[in-house]
Amino acid sequence: MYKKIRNELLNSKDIYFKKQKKAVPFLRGIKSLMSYHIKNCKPFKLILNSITNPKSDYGEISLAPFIPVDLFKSIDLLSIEKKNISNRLISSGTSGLNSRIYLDKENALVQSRILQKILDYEFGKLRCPIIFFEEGKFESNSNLIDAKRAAISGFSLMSNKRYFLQSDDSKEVRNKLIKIIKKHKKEKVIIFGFTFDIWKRFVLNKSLNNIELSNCILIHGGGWKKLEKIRVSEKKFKQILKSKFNFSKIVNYYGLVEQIGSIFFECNKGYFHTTNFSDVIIRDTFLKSLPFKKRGTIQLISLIPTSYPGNSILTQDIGEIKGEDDCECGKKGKYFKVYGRMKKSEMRGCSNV
Amino acid sequence: MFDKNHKIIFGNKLPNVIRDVPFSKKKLDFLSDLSKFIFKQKKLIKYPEIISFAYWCRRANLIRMKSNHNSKELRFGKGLVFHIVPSNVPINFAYSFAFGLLSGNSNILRISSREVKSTKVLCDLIKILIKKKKYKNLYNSNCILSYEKETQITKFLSGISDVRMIWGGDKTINKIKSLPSKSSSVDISFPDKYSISMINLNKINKNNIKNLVNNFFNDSFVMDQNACSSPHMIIWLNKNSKNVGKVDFFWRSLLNKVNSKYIFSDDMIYKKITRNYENIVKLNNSIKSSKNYGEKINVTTLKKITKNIDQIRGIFGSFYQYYSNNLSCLGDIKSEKLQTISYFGMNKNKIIEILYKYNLSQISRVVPIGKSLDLNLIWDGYDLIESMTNTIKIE
Repeated sequence: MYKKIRNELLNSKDIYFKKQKKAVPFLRGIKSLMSYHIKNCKPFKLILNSITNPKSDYGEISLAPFIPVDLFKSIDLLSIEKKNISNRLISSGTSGLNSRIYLDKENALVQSRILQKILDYEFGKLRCPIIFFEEGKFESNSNLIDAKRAAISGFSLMSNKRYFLQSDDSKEVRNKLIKIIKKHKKEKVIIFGFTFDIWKRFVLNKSLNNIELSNCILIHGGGWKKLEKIRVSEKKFKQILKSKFNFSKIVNYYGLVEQIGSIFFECNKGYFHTTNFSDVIIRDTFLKSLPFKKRGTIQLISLIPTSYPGNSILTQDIGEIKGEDDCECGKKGKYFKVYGRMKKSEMRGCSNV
Repeated sequence: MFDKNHKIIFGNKLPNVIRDVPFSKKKLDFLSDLSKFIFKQKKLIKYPEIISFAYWCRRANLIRMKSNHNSKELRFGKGLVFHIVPSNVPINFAYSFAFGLLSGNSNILRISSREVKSTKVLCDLIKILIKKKKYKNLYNSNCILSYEKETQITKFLSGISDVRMIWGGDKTINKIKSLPSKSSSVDISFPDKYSISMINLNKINKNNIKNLVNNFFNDSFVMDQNACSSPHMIIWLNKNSKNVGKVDFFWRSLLNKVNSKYIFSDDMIYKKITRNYENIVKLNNSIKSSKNYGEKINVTTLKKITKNIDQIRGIFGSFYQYYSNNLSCLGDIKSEKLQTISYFGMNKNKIIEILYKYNLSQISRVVPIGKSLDLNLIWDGYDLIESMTNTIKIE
């Protein structure tokens, strides 16, 4: 069932249906995926059986069960046989523990097809050189993929040439960048990096100053925690980068490794939009779904995961849905803001000195 | 050994080591003065944990502790006690300090550099008092300092102390224990523990339930259900068709209490459901049913006591329950982690009988519900006075 629904959505030209058109097939797809995972992933079955009545039916997506994303850190959750694992993804956890996500060939293929569709829609089938500002090394011959590599391989779907600028030598990076820009001055060029890495490279480190990047689109995302620490607002980030380098466009994206392929792009009004393949729900402290225009914890829903039960996950991010189908940018879907991580509470107890 | 990154709250960072008899007059005077001093500060009412410490070290209670410890042998404190206290149990440091004083020792305490308000408030009071002329000896032989997890200082203090009193999780204990210490020194360590409650349903009535619920609330919620003696499971005894309704009534009453006295954050609920789901997987097919009281209290009924029960820990108000009529289930919780059994509606002698019958030799506390968190001179299997003193045999 979910395969049929997904294929229909993939064959449709549009990726931002109105609610009337999206709601019914989306809910059916999610339900079908949930029963698939219940059948194929025992821990998931145990959890769902104990939190919901297995026979209970839900008439709307906000009533669908969800699991906290941290569960992927402590439990191996997969709905495929181990021998069919083709890729293992790990989140870039700073707290020591990482999520472990298992993909098989089918899931990997579907996620890249859907991602391609979203990218093509957003960037008008753009194929261009991409410059990855990659801080640190990454191994290319491993089936273990971290968040950075996942993003790189995802965005590479738009590339006809890839450059990696990953030297510690600022001068060398500057010279290389100037050379690349010069070579491609008549085309569009995408510059990609994690938000904090970009901030560090382009703003904190002044070595790239006075380079004209007006033919470049800057795509950035992730790395919330670090940016919060140095208190740079989204607005300030955009303003400073725009004024310093004259980027033709700066686009923020939001997505989790735990729902790879499900990506949200910021529209020109500054909001992320759900696509036909994804949905978002905001919950209060006690996990009740909140109406639009209320802040709370973000739950993400995706039609993509099949090899692991990650279709409906509760994040630790705080956000707010501003509305649905009526964003001034013209795109349909729910449109929302992400404000950052939820505040950590000091826990009492004996076991931590 | 001491670099810049430490801050002395009071005292001498190389305290004079004075070995005194337990419960000496000077120490009783100091602690009961501290108690009076705290009670005088009207604004401290908002720190119930400080008030209960003051209540604990009032003179009458100190004298009772002294007479309870009626040892015929001649004892002296072992010397210098190095206390490694947890940052997230407010006021624990004060009890630890008092244990060191009452056993006749000099003390050096490391408190976390992350400032907890109530810790700072109480430290300031102790500082004012200990600086008084009559306590000059105490000032010179005791010290509280704070530093980040700095192994150099810890290593140095480990090497010169006669007793290391190590609160905190297994990881901390192993780390401290790996540091060299004097060959004559002893370690008193409080590792990770697991605790449960037992309630006799026949003894609950409408007159006592409110008290029971308040007491249970204090045992579990005051420390976010994360203290070693906070209960994770209730064993309900003598269930029958007439009294089974009391169970739901108990949880609903607890919910009312929680609604008025406990504040949840997004992060707490997030951590709680994550823990709950991890536990569901660990429990496999041993769950009979679960009930969720508005995400504030979660109750999971078990079909049986699993072997890994000591790893099934709730947090922020998540409990497991099991019905039993003969307590034979206690034989299934033979874990070296089992610390406290708190009880209601049961006879003390009956419990002693059960401890023998099921050979529950490793547990360290059996206390009425409401007293789970009461720190005392007998704690976690140690008689602290005996453990921190040198006994002299005279014939």
